[in-house]
Amino acid sequence: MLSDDAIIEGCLKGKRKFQKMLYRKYAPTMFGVCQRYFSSLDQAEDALQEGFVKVFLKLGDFRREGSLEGWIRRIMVTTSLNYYRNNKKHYFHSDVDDLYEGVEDSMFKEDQFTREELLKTLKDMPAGYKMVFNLFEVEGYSHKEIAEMLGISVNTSKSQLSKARKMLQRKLLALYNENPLTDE
Amino acid sequence: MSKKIDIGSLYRQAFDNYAPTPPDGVWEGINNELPQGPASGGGLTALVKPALMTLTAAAIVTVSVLLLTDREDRSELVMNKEVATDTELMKPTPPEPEVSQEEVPVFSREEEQSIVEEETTELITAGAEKEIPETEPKKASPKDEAPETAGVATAESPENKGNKKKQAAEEQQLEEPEPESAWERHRNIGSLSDRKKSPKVSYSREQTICRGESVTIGASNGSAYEWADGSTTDSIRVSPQYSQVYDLTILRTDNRKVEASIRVNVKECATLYIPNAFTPNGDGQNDEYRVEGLNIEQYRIVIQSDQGTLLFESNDMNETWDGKHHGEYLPQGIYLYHIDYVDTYGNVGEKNGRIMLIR
Repeated sequence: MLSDDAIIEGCLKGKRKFQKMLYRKYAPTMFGVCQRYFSSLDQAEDALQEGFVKVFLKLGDFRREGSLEGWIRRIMVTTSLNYYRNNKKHYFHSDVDDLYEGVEDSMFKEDQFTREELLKTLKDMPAGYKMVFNLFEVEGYSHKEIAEMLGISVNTSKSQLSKARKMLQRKLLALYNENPLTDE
Repeated sequence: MSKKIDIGSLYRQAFDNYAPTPPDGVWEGINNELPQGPASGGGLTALVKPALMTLTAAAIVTVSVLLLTDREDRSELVMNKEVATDTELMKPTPPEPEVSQEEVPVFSREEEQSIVEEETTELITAGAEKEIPETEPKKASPKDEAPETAGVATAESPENKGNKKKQAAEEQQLEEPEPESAWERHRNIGSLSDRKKSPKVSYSREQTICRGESVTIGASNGSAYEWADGSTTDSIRVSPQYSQVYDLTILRTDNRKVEASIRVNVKECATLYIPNAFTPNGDGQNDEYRVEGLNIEQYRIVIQSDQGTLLFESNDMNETWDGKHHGEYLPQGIYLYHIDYVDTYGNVGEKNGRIMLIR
């Protein structure tokens, strides 16, 4: 496998071989990233495709200060979020609060659920919850960054995160009740 | 006993190394969307690109000009070798300081056009399509690695450029292959500014569908289109049963014709028939929820309430759901399914949707 620098050089010259090399190297991880933002696989594929086109078109802007993977990942996240941009108001409504009240913060065992189960519970959440939870918990952005990325207030970001956590807990508990582990 | 962690860590860990392979279509899509040639946005490359495009656009004509040029011109080429440098190539406007005009063949627009029409069909076989005179249509010979846009764009990729040069050199039976700079130089000298105005047409050269699906194929930026079946629209919708090539003649806005071939690959795919409603009322009709599939190797369905309660799950497509939970009929309403599957061709897929339970 060539170094990132060598691959970047080839890509900047517009060589398909190198572009494909870069794609092969990072597409699976990025596909994983995109999948978390959409309930359907089709949309994740669209975002992946659009994201990589941006990567190749903007590769000349990559400063090589951070990792290439981090740079690509940010493009994927931004591209995914863009899909929701036009309907921002709609996604950050807060009229269903009460439904999820009263669920305590619970702890889960780290191997209690399969990745597929976790992915599904995540995907099935409302878009606003999904975005904030992904950005904060999985990508590691701060509430301030999230607020800027999504054009919402820091408080909205925090409340969306808290609701997302509660909703996921409910879903996981439901899963757990259907399939209780027997080793306790 | 395993460690207990908070919900954020639970998800973070689960996705830490999650790297599913995207379907092939994604790369194909990227490949189709990306322009040929160097990426912009990176300092020098941004500057070089327009110049290169212009140069390569002129290449087609220039090569033909070279063919017709008197043999003595070959000594010109060798002479030019010394003075041609890469830096000159990067300038958008080709400078011509070292070579005087009378040493170089300069054709008027009309002459140039006629030359092109006589020669191009032989010359541009490296690409997928040929520019041909309007009065003399010929079939193009499609190649697998054909460039995605027609006409002048065919010369943009460095490899193709190389091929074309090499081929042209062979046709001229030169004793030794000319270095790139000499050829580039000669393109500059030709200074065929009309070429810049040549309207590019574009089309996607290849698409892949599942058998039974249909796809719209077409071209753009032409002034008229004629498909092998006689259609004259810019796009047609096709649903071939087997992989097939569709030939298309595009009339460019400068009244030149471009022959294009669009390949539609047909692959076997799995099909899932997922009903969106059923009526578990015991009348013997549509009482059970049943998914049917073709070419499905592995399958898993999960049906949940919209609150997330698991109601039914199965790995067996023959197993049906009776609309009950803990032995009780569920109320009329919307329920959610999630299906994961692997088909016999190794494709992994999933489907999500709603089931209407009607009484």
